Amino acid sequence: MNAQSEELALEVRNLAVSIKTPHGLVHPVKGVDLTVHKGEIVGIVGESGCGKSTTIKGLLRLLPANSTVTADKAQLAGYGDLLATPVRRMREVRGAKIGFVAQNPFGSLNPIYKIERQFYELQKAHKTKVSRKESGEIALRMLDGVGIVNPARVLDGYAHQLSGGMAQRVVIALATTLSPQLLIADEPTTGLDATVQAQILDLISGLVRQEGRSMVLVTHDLGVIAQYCQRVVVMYDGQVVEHGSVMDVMVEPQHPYTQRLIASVPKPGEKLDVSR
Amino acid sequence: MSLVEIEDVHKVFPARQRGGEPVHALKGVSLHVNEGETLAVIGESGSGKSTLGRVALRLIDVDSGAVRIDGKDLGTMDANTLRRQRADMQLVFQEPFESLNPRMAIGAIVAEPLQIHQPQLGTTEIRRQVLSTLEHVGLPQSFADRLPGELSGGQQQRVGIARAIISRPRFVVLDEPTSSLDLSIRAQILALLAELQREYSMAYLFVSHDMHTVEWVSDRIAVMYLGEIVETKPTRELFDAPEHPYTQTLLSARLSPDPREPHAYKAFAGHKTVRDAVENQEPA
Amino acid sequence: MHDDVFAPRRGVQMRRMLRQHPGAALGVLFILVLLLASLFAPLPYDPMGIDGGATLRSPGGEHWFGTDGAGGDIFSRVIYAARVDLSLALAGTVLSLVVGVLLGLAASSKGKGSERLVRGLDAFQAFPLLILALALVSLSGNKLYMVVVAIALINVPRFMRLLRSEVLSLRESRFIEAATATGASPRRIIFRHLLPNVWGIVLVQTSLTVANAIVVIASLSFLGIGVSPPTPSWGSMIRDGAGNMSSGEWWIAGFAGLAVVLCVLAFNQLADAIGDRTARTYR
Repeated sequence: MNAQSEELALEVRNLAVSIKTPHGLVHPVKGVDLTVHKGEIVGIVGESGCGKSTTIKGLLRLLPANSTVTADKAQLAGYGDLLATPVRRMREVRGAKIGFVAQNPFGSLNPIYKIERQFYELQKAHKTKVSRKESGEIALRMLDGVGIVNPARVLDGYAHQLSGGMAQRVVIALATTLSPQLLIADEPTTGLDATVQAQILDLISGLVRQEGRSMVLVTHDLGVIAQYCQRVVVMYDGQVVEHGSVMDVMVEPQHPYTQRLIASVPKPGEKLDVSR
Repeated sequence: MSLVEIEDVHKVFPARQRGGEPVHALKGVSLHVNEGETLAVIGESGSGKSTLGRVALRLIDVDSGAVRIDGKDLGTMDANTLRRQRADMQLVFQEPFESLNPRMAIGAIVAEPLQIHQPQLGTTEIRRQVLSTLEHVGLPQSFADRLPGELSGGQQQRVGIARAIISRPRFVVLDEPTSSLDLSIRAQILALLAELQREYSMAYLFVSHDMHTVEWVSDRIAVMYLGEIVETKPTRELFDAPEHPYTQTLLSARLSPDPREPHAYKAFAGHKTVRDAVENQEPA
Repeated sequence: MHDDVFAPRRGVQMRRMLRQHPGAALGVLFILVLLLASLFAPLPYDPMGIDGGATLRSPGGEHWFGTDGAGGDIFSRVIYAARVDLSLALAGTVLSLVVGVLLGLAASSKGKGSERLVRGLDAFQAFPLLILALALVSLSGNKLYMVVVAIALINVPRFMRLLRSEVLSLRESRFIEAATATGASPRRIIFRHLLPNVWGIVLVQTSLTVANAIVVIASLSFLGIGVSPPTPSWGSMIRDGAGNMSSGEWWIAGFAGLAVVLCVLAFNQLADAIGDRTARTYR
């Protein structure tokens, strides 16, 4: 695909999450390694409950207070160790150092502020000085960059006036406004129509490629992995069962779980085998 | 004669909010489903495909046009005749949990079609048939006394399927039956549906937004776009030679799980929206 | 109708509910003991009796809760009052429940009739219902059955609105559509699918209604309407004792007030427990 440097953008070793519940301690993530090079998109794939979302939420410290995140290392290039950062200071990291795109764009947008205000609030929270006018110009540029047809009108409106695809574009624009070097997207296109999905993924991967950023893309869709990622991490029951280049893992899966997962996706041109 | 015939059906939903636009969900849709075949209806959200599935069962009344099953017009049936007719046509839902009464035991849910349509069977016989149907869809008999909330998504969908097939219908509408399920479970449910179809020679109207699934299970495909069917063809033909620009767009947006087959979506990369891509492109 | 071929296990849930909500269990126990005592237990003194030689005694060994200005034994009167007060509250609640659920069902069907019913309800609720109830009872010459009607007058609209909103949202749900698609008759849909799913919330409302009815009855008899002397009722006891409060004889109004508070608390706790259980079986 494209040239990747050997330079690391994110290196996570032995990440584990434990959550206190009334029924005792549960361990949704048990020792996950994750390496992301500069300019690379790494996919995390698995079925619901495999711990893929919990892994990145743990990394971003977005889990509720009854959970504990530990790791031998969680080094973000140009910043430092993520887990050594106190939770309250993580807000400075999210947005500025790491852009986060969640599955439900409407959950990420404030329903009672105009879109323009949300760009302003974001910049105000991270930079000390930005005028409303400057912020508006930046926002306009960002929305144009994510392929929104009439950015001025979107800026002057509210989240509920947008379609799912449009809202996700706005969230991506917000996530990249402060030029974070790493993007983390958690099922960014689940629930969107196929054509919109392809557009959004083209957009995100373009944003990553353009400026030598990196991305972690969490998904349950093997098609997304195969078409947009360079490397993939397959998770099952809170652990990584297989990882490697997409060409290797998707074409010749080694682990039985990965093999089963890939076998359960209809291939183009194939008919359903009933005898199974 | 086809088993199900839908002829020039129109349906407009009134605006949801004051000042909103009424939604023209179906604009003159015609299609037919043959005995024992699977006709897939594919389209994106808002294309009217789910409305079409419900119209085919007259769960929604049409504004104009006709829906016939076995030559009988559903639109002119009185309420009692229609209810009796429902033994022969069933529905499987996209949301397995929401489609099951949370306070009824699994066995009671599956028994309901029999209690309604064949009460003369008696409790013992109904019980027997429910248990054997549960087993048939791959659920242990012991599930009969459980509540829907105690089951996983895949198991709930099996219950939905058991309820749909127990009255031996000849026509079943499957409304995105696997889109809320995990990958590996999806395949199992599709395989189960195919097996049951072969066994009971049911006709399926398979509503979906997923090209991969549709290609896997259907004999013919109808492509819906903004309330109209733009193309209907046997599955293989549609994939080999899509005619309508919207079909081409849909096909190009497919993401193959094989990284050696890059997707061809660039075909409308210059356009900002799907609509743009469809409307600024001449039909081939 | 209820030819259930399969049924989920229920007994366990009830037991668990009471174990997880000790407040509700205690409340139910309190109400039961109070009601049974008022009906069957031998009281230390005649609750209607007066004793000129023993007025305004403070609580003690002879008169556990003390005596009032006429020498009536407060303990006997507080217990005996439950007979009238609780029975009226329960009767009023049952009437509210039955009428409210039926009208609520009617108001949640499709069509012109139900729309008119809702309009009528809006207009009706514009009246200050408590005052209307008050007028009704006093005009009838303090007939006890009018107290029951008065409670229904206040609470039927609440049941109606609750049922209507629940049923309207349930009607949109997938499992109701599934029942229709299966060929279920409207009757079957109401009895097998709608009602069982609103039952929990109706029970919660019922429990709250009892609590409300107890307060309404106490308010009425506080104003001297409804239950008339010498039959004891908590409201009239509070009124009798109100004048004595300032001179330090707190027990006359105090114990009757406590009875009202505990009953209301008990039914609110029960409502909480039922509500909690209802929420849990949904998921």
